Amino acid sequence: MTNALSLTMDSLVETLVMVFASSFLSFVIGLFTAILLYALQPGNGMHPNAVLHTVLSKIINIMRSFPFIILIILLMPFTRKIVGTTIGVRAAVIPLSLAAAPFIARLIESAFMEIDKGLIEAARIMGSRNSDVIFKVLIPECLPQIVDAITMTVINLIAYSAMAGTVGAGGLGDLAIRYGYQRFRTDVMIMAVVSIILIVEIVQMAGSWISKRLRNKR
Amino acid sequence: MRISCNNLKKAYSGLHAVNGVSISAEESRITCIIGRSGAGKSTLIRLLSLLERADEGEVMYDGARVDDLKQKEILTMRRSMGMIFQLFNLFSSRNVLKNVLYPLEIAKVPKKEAVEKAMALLDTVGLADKAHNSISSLSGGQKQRVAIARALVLNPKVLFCDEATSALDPQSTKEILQLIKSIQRKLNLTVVMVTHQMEVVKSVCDYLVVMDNGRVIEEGDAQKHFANPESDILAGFLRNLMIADADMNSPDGRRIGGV
Repeated sequence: MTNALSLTMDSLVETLVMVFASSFLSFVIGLFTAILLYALQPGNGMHPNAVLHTVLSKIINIMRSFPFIILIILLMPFTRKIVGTTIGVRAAVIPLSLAAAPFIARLIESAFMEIDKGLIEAARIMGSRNSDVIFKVLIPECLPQIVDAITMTVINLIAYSAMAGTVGAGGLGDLAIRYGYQRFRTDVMIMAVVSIILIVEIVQMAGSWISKRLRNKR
Repeated sequence: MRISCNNLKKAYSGLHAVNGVSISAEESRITCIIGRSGAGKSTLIRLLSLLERADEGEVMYDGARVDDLKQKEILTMRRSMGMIFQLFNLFSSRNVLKNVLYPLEIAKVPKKEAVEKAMALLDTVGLADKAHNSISSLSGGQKQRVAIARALVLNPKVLFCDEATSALDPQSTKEILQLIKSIQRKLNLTVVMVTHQMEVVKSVCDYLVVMDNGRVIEEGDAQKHFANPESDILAGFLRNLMIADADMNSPDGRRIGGV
């Protein structure tokens, strides 16, 4: 019998790598998309373009409504182009990032939209360029909400990563299915599930702590 | 700097908020635009400060047309104007000093010089000791002082005030008005002020503009018009002010004159 602990450890590392890499990528793509959505939004004086805004918004909705397992399969040709393979941890990062990016884009966009219009006007009247408004006003003002959005995304990605076993990426979810379910190894099942719960708990605590500190400083 | 406009019009979904306004706010003078809510005064100040563009008409700074400037030219133009708002619009992610530093940062003023300048202005508004406080720790009056320091830090020639005292208690209102007036005299600023509070107009106004339904219905030297109001609106404002004064002055707080 294979040692449950070492099995779990290997899978834990795979999960962490997948989640960390895809969180980072989805944040970069999501933040950029949110800024784009905001800038295209008619009525805030940047680059209003109702058509482009609607198109981008629809694309995000479509991406968000895809079941993740289908997204993995649909993205296979694209994944192969980018990382050269459709199997393994590296291959899983692509669909994971693209599944989470629209989610985080929406969260950050809604944080942007909640910023008082008066602040943007004050920034404008002081001679701010669009980039000043975005990087010196919008993002700093929304930082606690952005941290919350990242926390939520990371937790979602931990759940999604369990499905990435389908493309042979391994990870804790895959371990639970292959050993815990298919080979009746209850000990492995328990360890995998407990590990997932622990990671989620730690991420949530860290995220809440940072966001609370940011809010308290105000 | 003289701020003027010619036949300005602006409509929102068919409704004329500003409907053919021509006024002139002379240099080194406090011009007050008063009117009931919905009179179009806020829209007018947003058009004059180039926050919004008019549907028709012209905005002129020192006689030169500015409403058709390109975005880039407007950015430069904005260095010479400051604005304060009803709800202060301070950045909660920055402390007091950093709020005042903001305009200097985006104007790329070197850090050391910027901090000196910002501290000097905080001193002028009496908040130098609160430089490192968070915005949420300040009172309304203090917030508006920070906003004034921030609006003036780039040495503008004109200060726009959009209902700047409407969210303040009477005592803070008085203090802020005194501050604006003394700064205006010291820096020779042109001040354009929008308000629905007659006591504000009465205590600082040099030139009065009364608006109703998107049009100017009365304008001229403030003292003259206080003595002899032409429009019912101004007469009404003055009457309400007298009643309020009487209320405050009567010893038992009861209304005088059976009103």
